Amino acid sequence: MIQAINDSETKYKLKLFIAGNEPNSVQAVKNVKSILDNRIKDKYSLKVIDILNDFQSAIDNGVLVTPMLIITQPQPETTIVGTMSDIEKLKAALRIK
Amino acid sequence: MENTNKISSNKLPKVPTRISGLDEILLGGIPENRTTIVSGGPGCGKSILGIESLYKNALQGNPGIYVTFEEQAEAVRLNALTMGWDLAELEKKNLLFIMEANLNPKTVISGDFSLQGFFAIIEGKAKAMNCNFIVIDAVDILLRMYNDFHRERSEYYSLHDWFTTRKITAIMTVKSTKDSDQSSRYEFLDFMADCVIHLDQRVKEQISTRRIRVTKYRGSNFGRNEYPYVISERGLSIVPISTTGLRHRPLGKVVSSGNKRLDAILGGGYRRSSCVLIAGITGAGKTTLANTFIHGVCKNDEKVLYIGFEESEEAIVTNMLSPGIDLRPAIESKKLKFLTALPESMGSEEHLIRAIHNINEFKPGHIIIDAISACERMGSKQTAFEYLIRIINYCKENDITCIMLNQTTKSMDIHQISGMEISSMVDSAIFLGMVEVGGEMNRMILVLKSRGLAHSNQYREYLITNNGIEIMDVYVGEGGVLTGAARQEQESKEAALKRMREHQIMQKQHELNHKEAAKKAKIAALQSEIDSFKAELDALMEEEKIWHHGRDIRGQLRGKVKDDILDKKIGGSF
Repeated sequence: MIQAINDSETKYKLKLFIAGNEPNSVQAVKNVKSILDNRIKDKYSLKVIDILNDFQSAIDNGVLVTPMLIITQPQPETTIVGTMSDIEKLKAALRIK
Repeated sequence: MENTNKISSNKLPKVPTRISGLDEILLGGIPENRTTIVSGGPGCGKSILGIESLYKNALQGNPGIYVTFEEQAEAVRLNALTMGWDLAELEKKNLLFIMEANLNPKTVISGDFSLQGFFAIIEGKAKAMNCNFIVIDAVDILLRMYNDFHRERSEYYSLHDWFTTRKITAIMTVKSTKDSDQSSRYEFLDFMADCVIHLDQRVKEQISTRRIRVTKYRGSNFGRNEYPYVISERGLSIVPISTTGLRHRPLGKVVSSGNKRLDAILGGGYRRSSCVLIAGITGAGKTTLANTFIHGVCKNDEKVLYIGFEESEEAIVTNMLSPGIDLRPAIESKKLKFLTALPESMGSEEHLIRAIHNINEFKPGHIIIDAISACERMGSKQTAFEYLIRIINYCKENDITCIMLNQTTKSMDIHQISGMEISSMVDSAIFLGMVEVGGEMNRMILVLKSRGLAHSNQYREYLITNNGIEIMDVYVGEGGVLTGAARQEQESKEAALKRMREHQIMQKQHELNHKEAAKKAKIAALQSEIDSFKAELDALMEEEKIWHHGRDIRGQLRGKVKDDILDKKIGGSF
């Protein structure tokens, strides 16, 4: 589990579900972290969950495909699946420029 | 499941679906640790097939997982409850898990993804529950997210591989459409899967019918026909009779038709677990004859199920009072049960399965179908034929006598008695005809067939009296069969002629006796004449003998003396 939490001024809350070290998951972690660190550094909390170790979380969150990013904050909740190779889509979901 | 490892050399291990009739078609069940595809259009019961199989296996202690991509878990539970399946109860016992796999429709897709999440959930849950039976309902919804047919196809294969390597017995439901473009698109699924079951719903002449067909089963034989099925309040029911034609029991013992004279004509009565056809025009007395039988067997504590398509129970009971048959005691003592419905009210499979459910529950020794001619109204001649052939088969396999009534349109046409091409299944056939002779209609009965019994081949007249059916003596005369008043007339004529013939014979006999006596006397006289001649001759011959004898003596006496003297003279001189 990788965690990057900045308690003060946390405007963005994200959960990224991955499946071990499969290429798509590795790619997604890399892409997400790069965007977040570039744009909203210190303003987000990202929880990366490996469903191979925690299938109950996958059930609870309805994670059928990986990688899957759930943006719980800001509302409304948004779900993005895939390697996040399309930076524009992620930026749109986070409502950042 | 422990028996996974016990792979015998010639038998593919199978998991029973425990759905009525389906395991018979699959010769045991779906292939263990392999993928079975169930395809069909909307509303034909793909999901029910999956749920029912999971539910019934879970009841036996075999846990299962149901993954639905279309419905809410709560809706699945509620739907199952309408069939009497309490899924929540099994979920509590950890024998069933309903996985609601609904992806948020607003989900944004950005780049490539895989089904790992899905696999992880199933693997984790399956391990936790010690389960290897999974039903995946409408997985196409998930896979369409790829929006790329080639990718979709490869994911189906990876799903299939995943199940195979994990030794999971899976049922995947897939939508099939009439659209040829779409259907060819999913054709590969039929090639991929180890077992393919097609469900089909069609409407023909305003009546909907459902058919199930297994199109593929790797490593196993299966029933290859289309079988009718219904979705009833008890789930899916299939009657795969076409696979079972060889399990007929031999005809049983004789059971009385309820009428002694008819028994005699039939060669003893009906045979148990046989198929009896009673045909005739309306008003010929078919129902009366059938109820005569019912009345008789119910008295002997045997059960009868009456499947009626023409009259209500009340109408039959009331009508039968007129020929003196009171069915009420049999109904009250629960020996007789009526199952009436209009043929048009439902499809033939529903009629069939309703009948079979009732047979299974009521366990009758005999059933009556009144009348098979009405069955055509279930749809077509073909559906009626299928309905009847399955009922007859079911009865023959379960030692039940099946008495079918058939209304013919012509009063004396014995060739159209069955009209449903089921004649070869019929063991006994009774034809009730009506003939007009000398201005009156007379009823005639003929036993056309009575398998395994020596029966009469003659027409007989019968009456429907206050005491039921009365069969008259057979009339065998020069002018053929006659009935009614004409018959009586002919009978008296015949009697007079017979008396005359008898008289003539007696006369001739007398004459002969006389002549014989006279001749005998003559012979005696001649004989005595001969005897007296003979006696005379004998006497004469005796006299003649005596005379000759006397002459010899005399001669001797004379001659001897002379010779003696001569001898002495000659001898004395030398």
